[in-house]
Amino acid sequence: MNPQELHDRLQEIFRQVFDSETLMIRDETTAAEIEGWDSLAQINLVVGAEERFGVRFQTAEIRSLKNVGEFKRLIAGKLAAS
Amino acid sequence: MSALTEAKALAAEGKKVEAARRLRDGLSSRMSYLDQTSAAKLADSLSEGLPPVRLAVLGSSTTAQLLPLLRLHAFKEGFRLELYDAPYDAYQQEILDEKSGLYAFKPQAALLYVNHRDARPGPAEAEAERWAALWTRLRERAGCAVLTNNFDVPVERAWGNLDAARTDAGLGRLRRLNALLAEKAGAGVAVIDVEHLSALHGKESWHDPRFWHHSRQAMSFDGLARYAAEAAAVLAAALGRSRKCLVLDLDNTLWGGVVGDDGAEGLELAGSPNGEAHLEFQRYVKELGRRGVLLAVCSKNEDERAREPFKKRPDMVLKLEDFSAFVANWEDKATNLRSIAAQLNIGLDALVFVDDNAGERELVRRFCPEVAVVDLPEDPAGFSRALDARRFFETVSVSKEDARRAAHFQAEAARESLRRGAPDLASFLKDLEMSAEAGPFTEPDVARIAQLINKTNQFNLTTRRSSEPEVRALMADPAAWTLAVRLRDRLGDYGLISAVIARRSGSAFEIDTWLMSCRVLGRGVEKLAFNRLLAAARAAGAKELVGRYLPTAKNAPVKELLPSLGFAAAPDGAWRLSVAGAKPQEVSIRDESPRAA
Repeated sequence: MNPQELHDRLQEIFRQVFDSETLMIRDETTAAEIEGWDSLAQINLVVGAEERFGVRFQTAEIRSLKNVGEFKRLIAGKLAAS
Repeated sequence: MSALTEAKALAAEGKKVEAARRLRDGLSSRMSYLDQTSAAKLADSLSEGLPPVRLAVLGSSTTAQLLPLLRLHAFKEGFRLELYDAPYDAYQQEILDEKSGLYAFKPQAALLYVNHRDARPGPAEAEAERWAALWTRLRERAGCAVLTNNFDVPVERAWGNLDAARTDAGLGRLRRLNALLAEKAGAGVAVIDVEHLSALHGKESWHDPRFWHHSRQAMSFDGLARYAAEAAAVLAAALGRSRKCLVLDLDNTLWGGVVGDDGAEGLELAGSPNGEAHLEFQRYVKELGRRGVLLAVCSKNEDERAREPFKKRPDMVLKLEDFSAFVANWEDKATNLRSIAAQLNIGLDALVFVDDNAGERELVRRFCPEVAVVDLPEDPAGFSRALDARRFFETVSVSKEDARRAAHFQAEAARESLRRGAPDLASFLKDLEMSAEAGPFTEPDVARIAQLINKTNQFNLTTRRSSEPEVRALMADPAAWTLAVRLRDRLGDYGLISAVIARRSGSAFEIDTWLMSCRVLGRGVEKLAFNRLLAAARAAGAKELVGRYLPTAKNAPVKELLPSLGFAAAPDGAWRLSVAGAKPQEVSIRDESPRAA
């Protein structure tokens, strides 16, 4: 999967979780910048990414996301390994 | 497009009723967790106006993800949840402290969202007593219905297969405890069988240890969605809102084949794999009847014909006396469902409708949205599960007042639906987006045409039979005019379903054969065929159309066909129509014939 496709599909998940058709994410986007990005939303993002990308996060990875860029690197790494 | 996307689009257009219906119909255990969270938000925006129910959730683990899903599935059951979310793992304090938020909330129902970690070590009997005492306290103080989980037996078995034999711990004790909880429930306490659900779902994916460690999630998220659906169904039952009556189609639902065409003796029942599958479905239905679900028949058939298999076939599991209502006629099924509800003095919202024909299901969904409609798979081997999975007939013991309220509610609904009157069939037919291809018989269709000619008994004007060579001879005969009709709609392709044969005879155009498959009865195909017939008669310079109805034991459905199209009775027993004065019939079927006449 190329980086743009990964970005677009992840953005789609963000839009669904935060119920916004126009939400744009950048690598630097952090939880503080998006209204409603709380622990519940965090879990929905992780579960959504597992469903849509067919990857599996490890227990420690579920809570270690600093920003969108890190989330993307994590998914890309798992896709490359599979 | 997914049901969720469609429902969202409808809601965005302001079509709330349609959006709600699409969302309800599309909600199944196959919808992913992420989509269910979106569906839950949409449901929240569409729940206004539904009867509110106050539910207190008492969780020993995290409930944040559960609550929106509970609201979603309650919406599917037809009510709007007002929730009290008790503090994390404080269910015992909340129940024991009469000044707790739980009691201040005055719930109509309380849900004990607990799991196997909450079962204390020791003998199962003492532990079951402890739970029963908690239920009693809660029920007496809050005066509400109590719903509780039983215990999901974990995947890991340190003792291996011997784990099942342990009585003080492990798998054996949990199973024993679950059996005891089931015995002690009743009287205002309903147990949600989480152990069964976890097995149904697949134990390995029921509990996800990562999310237990991360944030004390007792179930995986797709497990949680399944649980929420089950809990909502049990809640509906606890409030006296479960369905009361199962309405069944006959042909290709209770048996294989069409009784009007195949006769009672020709139906598939015992002895063929397909017939056995229908019988297995009958056994499941019989069991529903035994436990108090009302059974009814709604079939497009002659009444007498529809009853024959029950009288003549000893292998039928269901008997006529199992049914509280038996309606077999040629009216549309929405009208018949209304009359069944009126006969039984229950509301349309107490009915569950089962029919193998997707067109009938769509009609009922449209005109009786209160009726629950089961989407049967094509293979009868899947009928029982498709019905069972919907949990329509959940039952728990309910208080007298609950029962009275429910009865009152049903009576109101019954009156309301009767007031609403007959459905607007014309607009329904339009919405089916039917299209037809009609043209002369062609070689690739000969086998199918001969089959229709030789098998169709009901919608058959003359019941004249012809073999494949005879059909070919007709195709070569310049005096003969033939028409084969294929029908499609947005629900599927019905294939070649009607055939007409006419002959030039002097100044007349004589109808030799006119037949149609009963699967497309009531769609207006006969009107489309008539228009073609009329156009052909005109093109041939004929002055009149002549037809005959040759009655048989089975073809009553076409008795009124010719007069309904304007034909007049002639002294010789024929029906005649002057071509000059005849007008084409209005049809809702788009003509997509390659060379439309």
